[in-house]
Amino acid sequence: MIAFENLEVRYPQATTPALRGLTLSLERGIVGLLGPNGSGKSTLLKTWLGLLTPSAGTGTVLGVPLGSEAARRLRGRIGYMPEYDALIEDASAYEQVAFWGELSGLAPDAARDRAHEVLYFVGLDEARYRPVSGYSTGMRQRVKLAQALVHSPALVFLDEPTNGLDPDGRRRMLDLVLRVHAELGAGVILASHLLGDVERVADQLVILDQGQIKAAGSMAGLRRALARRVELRFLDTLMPEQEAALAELGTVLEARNGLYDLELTTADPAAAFRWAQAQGATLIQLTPRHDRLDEVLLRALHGDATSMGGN
Amino acid sequence: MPIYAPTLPPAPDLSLGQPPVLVLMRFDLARLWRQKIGRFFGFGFLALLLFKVARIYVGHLLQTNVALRPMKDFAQSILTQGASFQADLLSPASFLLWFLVALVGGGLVARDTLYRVRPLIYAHPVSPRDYLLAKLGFATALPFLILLPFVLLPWLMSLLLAGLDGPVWATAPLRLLPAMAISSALMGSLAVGASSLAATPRAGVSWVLGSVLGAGALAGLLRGMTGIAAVDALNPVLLAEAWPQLLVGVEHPLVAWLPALLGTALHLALWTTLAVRRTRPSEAIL
Amino acid sequence: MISLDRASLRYGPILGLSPTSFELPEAGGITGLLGPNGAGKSSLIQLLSGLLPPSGGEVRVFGQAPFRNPAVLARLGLVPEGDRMPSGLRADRWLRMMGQLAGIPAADLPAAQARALAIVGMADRAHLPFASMSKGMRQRIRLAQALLHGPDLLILDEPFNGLDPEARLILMDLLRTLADGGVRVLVSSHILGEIAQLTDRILLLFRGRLLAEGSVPEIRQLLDRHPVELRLVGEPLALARWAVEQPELAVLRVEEEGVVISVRSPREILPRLQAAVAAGTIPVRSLDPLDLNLDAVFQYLTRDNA
Repeated sequence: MIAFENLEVRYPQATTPALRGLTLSLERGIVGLLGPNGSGKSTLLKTWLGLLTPSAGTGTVLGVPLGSEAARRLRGRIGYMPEYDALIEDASAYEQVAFWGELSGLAPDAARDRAHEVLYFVGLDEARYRPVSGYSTGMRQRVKLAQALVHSPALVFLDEPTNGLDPDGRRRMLDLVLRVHAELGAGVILASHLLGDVERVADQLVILDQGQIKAAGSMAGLRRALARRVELRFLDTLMPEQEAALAELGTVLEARNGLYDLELTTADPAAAFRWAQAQGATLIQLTPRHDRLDEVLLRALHGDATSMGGN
Repeated sequence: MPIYAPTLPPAPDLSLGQPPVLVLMRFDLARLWRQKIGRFFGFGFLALLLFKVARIYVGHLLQTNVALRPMKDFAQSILTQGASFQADLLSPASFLLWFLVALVGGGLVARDTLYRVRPLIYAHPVSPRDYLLAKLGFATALPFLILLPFVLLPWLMSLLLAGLDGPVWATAPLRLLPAMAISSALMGSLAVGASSLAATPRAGVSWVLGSVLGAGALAGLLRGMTGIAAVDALNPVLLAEAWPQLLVGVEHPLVAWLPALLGTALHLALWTTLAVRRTRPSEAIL
Repeated sequence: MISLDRASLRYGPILGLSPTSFELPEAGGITGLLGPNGAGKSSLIQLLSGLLPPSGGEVRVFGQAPFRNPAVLARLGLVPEGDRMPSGLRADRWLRMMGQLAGIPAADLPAAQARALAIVGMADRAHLPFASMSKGMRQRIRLAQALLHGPDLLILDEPFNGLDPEARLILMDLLRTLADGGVRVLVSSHILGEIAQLTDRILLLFRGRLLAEGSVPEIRQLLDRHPVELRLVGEPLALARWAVEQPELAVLRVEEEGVVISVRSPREILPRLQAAVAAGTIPVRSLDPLDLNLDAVFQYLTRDNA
């Protein structure tokens, strides 16, 4: 879907490049893009959209080499859902989605048909004929998503799609993101500050900081399983002597809110059941411990910059 | 029997669409149609047009009908057929037209700034040039199309009623249409340029009106101080009125040829440059 | 420490919070205040921090009504929602002004300021104007402001909004440290994952009403209408054979790597499962309660009460 080889991008008058040494290969799927504000996410987006040309290195997006004449037309094959409210407040959802479709190059009639179809896809029913100024946050986010999908792009860039949504709206938006890939077959790039969102939907991950890739690769590859590490939770709170006895089972690395992060002395997780049985406690959770996404992120930002490469 | 899943059909053809300039202009037109001010001005201009046409028709009656002959002397005074009459076909619409251009044009760019849609526009296959052309095109076409019947209808009537000797010259459109185009371009570029300075449509209207009146006041002030008549060419209202006069050859036009040319060029360059600078993509996405 | 007795809040005709009663015990720790947009989180915070008097009922913080009560307000730190700061102002000057407003004697102010800045890790950057700070840095200065007078209760309204992941993690660590130091922390958020990372104790608001209060497993146990889902990883057939014999089984789903069972009373079945695994009768490598998390609890609660 996207491949970069030592890509460098610099703004016309800038002394230092905004992006440098980007080497990356992503497969079509859902890619989580993490990075602090100002890490280069929007520069990367502008490069994808052909608004900036690389100053060094090569890259292809959807098989089209960046910086070529053909790259200008890439914009028609990319959908972009901005982070902020880029809605035409005095137009209805239907009118503006059709408008964006036409701007992407659809014929007027095709754009209108597609507008209705994508609005059904995102679950916006009768409200589509009313001006968007009266919409709730969740509806507004869905109009923005519909706008990014109307021309049936091969790649959509979603910038903080769950911004401002409550748990229910957030779940529905993430389900839509999954469906965009599963049903429409589009590659998705999801930029988000919420690790939980990325964790739920993404199959690949890119961590960007100060214009450089700090880590990239498949989610499974980056979140490696930690040997002998398990998380335990018990049906009832452990008594102090039981807690002390946990040392027989392994080393307690962290205990918070009744959840124990343990490094077992044995390789057999069933030992935890035997220990609980002997201690008169009841296990309700025994799960192998993987790297959490926040650990992956912190390691990438502060540890040595190990790029795990593609897949 | 097949079951049709509610998913989207295959990718549509993206090469059949209209050019982005046209799409953008159509969207602005649809917005004008929706808004109430469109109807208000529609009524105003229609009334003016009827008045103009009626004046020619009454004049024709006065000339041909014997019973009305006593009034002919009076009528003659109205139906001056000289150059100033031709130029005057466009002038009464002037203030109303400036007002319309300010109200509609003031929001053209400012509304996109307020709603922050320009970055999204540039994320589509639309270049800044397309965007600006669409905005300038719309803001220019609007006054031009409104003025069009003011020239063509009286001309047609006069031709039908009195042939080549009618009150409107047979060649009037040849002179008036280019004048209209220049005046409209002046109005359009000023509206778009001033609108690009504003952050909200309402502020955009104020920017346009302020720029028009401000430039007029400045020209008046300078003229009072220096006594040079050519300074009037800084005043966009006078410029827009002067072009029809110059092209039909009125004896004492509001602004002379050279100042009018220089003033118009200055305004067009100034406002277009402003608009270009304020609608660059680098200002937009971030 | 905090108690509400049928306290309500109306803004003119608009409902902020329906009559609500609850009590938070004296002990320290972090409590999450959860709910969708418009659930009444901000209303509750306005009542507790004494910004508004209740429209009805009683609010007590440290045993007294907080509204216009300096005795309560002096022991309470508030980080309100939003990120609006005078952009050109230097953070330390703003802090000094807030300290003066809090009534800290001029002699103690530099020490208090240095202490608060040290806690939030901004001691070396406090001379910067707000305009040249990142959102995360501004949020930490806002937290320092709430800590100036050494409050016993710290209330934060949506503090994580708009922060990038790293700033979020830093802030969470800060709040944990404060809570370990004996400060009671009340944090509101509409993002469940954040609260789940921070704490187990929640107050759940929905449509202006208090829906539930307590720890997530406690609340989950009260939801007995919903069977608990457990994923067992191990040899699927052996697990399925064992599971069908259990009287508590409601649903059994066989997967590639194991089974998912829905059980009505986990208290009955879990000890038996444990005994069977400990005795080596069935192979279980992992036991994962799928809906014991905050997300599932929240979904059940709001759906049942919608």
